[in-house]
Amino acid sequence: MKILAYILKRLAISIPTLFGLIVIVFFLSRVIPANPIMILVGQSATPEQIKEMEKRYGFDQPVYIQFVNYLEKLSHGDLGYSLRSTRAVVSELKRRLPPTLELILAALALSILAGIPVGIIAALKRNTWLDHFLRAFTIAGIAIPGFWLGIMLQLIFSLYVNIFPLGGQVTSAGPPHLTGFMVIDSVVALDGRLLLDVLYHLILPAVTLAMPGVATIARFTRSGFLGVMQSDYITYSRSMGLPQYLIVCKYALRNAIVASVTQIGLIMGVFLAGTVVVEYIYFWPGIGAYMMDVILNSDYDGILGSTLLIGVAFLIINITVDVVQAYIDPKIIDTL
Amino acid sequence: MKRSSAGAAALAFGGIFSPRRASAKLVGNAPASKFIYSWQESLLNLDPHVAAHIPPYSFKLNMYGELYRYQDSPPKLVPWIAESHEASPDSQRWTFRLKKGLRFHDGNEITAEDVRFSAERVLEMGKDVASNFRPMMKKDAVKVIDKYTCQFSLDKPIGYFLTLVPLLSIVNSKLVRQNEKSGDYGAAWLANNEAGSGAYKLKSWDPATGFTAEQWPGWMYGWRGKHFKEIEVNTIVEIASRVAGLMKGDIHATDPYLPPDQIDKLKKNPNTQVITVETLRTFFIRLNMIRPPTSNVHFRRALSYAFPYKEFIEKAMLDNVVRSKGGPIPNNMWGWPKDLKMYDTDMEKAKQELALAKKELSPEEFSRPLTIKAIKGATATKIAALYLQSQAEELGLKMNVQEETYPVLLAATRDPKTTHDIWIHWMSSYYLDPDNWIGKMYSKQYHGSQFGSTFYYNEKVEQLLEKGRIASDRETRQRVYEEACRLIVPEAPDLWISNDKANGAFTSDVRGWHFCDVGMGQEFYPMWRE
Repeated sequence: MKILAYILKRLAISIPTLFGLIVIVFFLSRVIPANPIMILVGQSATPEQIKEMEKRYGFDQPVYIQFVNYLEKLSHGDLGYSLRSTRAVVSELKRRLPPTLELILAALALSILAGIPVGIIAALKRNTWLDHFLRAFTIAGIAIPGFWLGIMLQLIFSLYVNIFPLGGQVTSAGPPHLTGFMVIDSVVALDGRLLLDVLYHLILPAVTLAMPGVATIARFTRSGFLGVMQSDYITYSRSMGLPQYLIVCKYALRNAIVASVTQIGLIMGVFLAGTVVVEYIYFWPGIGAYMMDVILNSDYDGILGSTLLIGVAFLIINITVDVVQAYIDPKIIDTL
Repeated sequence: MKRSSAGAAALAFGGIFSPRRASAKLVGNAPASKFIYSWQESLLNLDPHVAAHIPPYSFKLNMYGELYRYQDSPPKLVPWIAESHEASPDSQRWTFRLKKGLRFHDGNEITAEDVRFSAERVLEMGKDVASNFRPMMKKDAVKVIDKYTCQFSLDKPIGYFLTLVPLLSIVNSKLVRQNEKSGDYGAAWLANNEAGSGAYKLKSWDPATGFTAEQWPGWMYGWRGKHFKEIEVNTIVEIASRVAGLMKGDIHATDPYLPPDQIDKLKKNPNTQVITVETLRTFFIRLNMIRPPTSNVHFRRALSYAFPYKEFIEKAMLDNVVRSKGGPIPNNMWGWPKDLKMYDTDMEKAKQELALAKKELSPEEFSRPLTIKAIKGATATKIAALYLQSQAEELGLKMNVQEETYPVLLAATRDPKTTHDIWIHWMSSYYLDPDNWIGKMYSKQYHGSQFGSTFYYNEKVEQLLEKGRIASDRETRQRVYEEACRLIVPEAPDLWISNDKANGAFTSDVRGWHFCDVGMGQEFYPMWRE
């Protein structure tokens, strides 16, 4: 019951946060001295034609009226109209959300599957050359920009060694659209070859996106593990003559990765931001690539819609992390 | 046991991910009957009556037909859906007779009603394509004379109207009307579907990735000889990825305006070929005509003499452009006088002109630091800006270089108070008539738009341009535009730097590319892969 009240409180706080986001993004996008109508009517338009279209799309009205109109549409679930594609922003986002989520989930899986073993090995081999190497690797994982890493991986694994495709989500036609998640749709279509093709396309972008996640989880696991391995119950287990693998897997691991698990929420945020660059390099048809396009073309409703979506995703992640933390440590509930 | 399982897993992994298997089965290697073309810009809307810039031509030229179409380079106007045309002596009424028996992809016959509906639809929707027609016609301008004849009645005589006709894609009026919702002229439906009569028929489309299309058996020119069975057009924004895709064979062609260093790389690669053609796309630096110091003719001439044209063309653009000879009009277009005196780099003359400017301007006006605006992401504009800045510094002038996104640059041109001091852009070929260049960039009616961003005005030039629009005989128009060039060039409102070369980049097995300025060679019907 207490936890339910906590969740409701967190949700209530998120409403003004979202409204603040809408206000800031709406007015910031209007401050940029661009005119999307001039893109819509093209280079050959005369000033009279530009004025006429500004009137048709409501850009001749004061900004605060445009804002009220936007809020009214938003209250009906309408995110507006993309002047660049002349289509509803909702339909644009619906198409692009599954590929982005698929990429983020793949990167998250890679981060956990690679980060935890790397952290454990580094802790167990503390201060050996292997530990130094893995620590250098984790620092590089955080420090290397995704843009550079992506291009390098493309060059090596796609152009020179030629084992992975350069980019995209699938070689030719994808599976019949069901969920929009290519992996799931290929499985549902019972098409093994297509599934393999989809996974091939997923590997390089997921690795590029996952690098900071692998590094973060490895570092937190290593430090958590070192702390746990020095605790009394581990010393006791050792003195009892229990084998090393049993101490590590059964007794130490669970306590050592608590800190890493709480990092996952933050890593998801990093991945959301990282998709902009990764999707651009690997021509991945997701929200990140869409955001880049609408920002560069001052497509107001496109900017607002995609920012709002990312904002909502961040809020959901934060609330989930807070709730998980509160579940682990109930004292947190009293602090709100 | 554990070891053998791990070994088996490693073998299986190695087997699946081996380069040979990957390249043979999964990576690229489309059959020769398929053609994959990548462009940096997404095709976000399939409606042929929305955008008039270059990327959507990959869809329009292959999926739709027009009354007349441009072919080859230098471009010729060829009857396409129309059989012939006739203009009234005053060039105000244009009558088109259609070929009989031509059909849309759904089997409906193409009739004059489809032409009428298409024109009305363009004008009512008022998007990019409409901007070329609105100054001269209203939505009811087209009348159906009989099933195969229609007449365009213009608001005023337009001598070059025929050159605009290829901009009007003819849509299947019956099909579009069936999908109309609350008087939207089928806009919502046509944004995601196709109602054309072109060589290829839409197979699949995804706004996030691109489209595929297949041969349409009913195509008017038939399918004898070598052609692609299927075409795919997709989006790869990053230049390096497009070039790598081409070298690897994942794609078979990309846009013809890659940066010079990438073109050089593709020319040296044995798996790729570059076909070079001089185009009508002009590149220039534009000077503010109403704000000092660039409002002063001597100041503008000083900059025109100072720019290092040869160095820019040879060293920065690696000879992928050619020097402009026709001033405001491209080299390969008629209308400019062959004896036109252009500006060559001459720092002595630049200094002399600057000395004259200094006398005529106040010290504050003369020494005001100027800002050169380049288009973000368009490297050539930044390089040209830096060259001009460097030469200006030698003359003792202070200039800053700033990069902005195209929409931001465009918005500033609406008002004389906000328009740029100096900015750099290209002028593409929308219709092939001198009016496309000189008629838009130096006419008062375009003040407050990109083309009129310098706010140039000369009454005599204005009269000549209007005369050029109205006149129907080529000889008169040639004289008119020559005279206009002779008046404009000495005033130096722009630095006419170069005409682009299109560098069609293909894998080495692609054949049959016919470049055309309108659409940038994106008509795939004549092409094939060996």
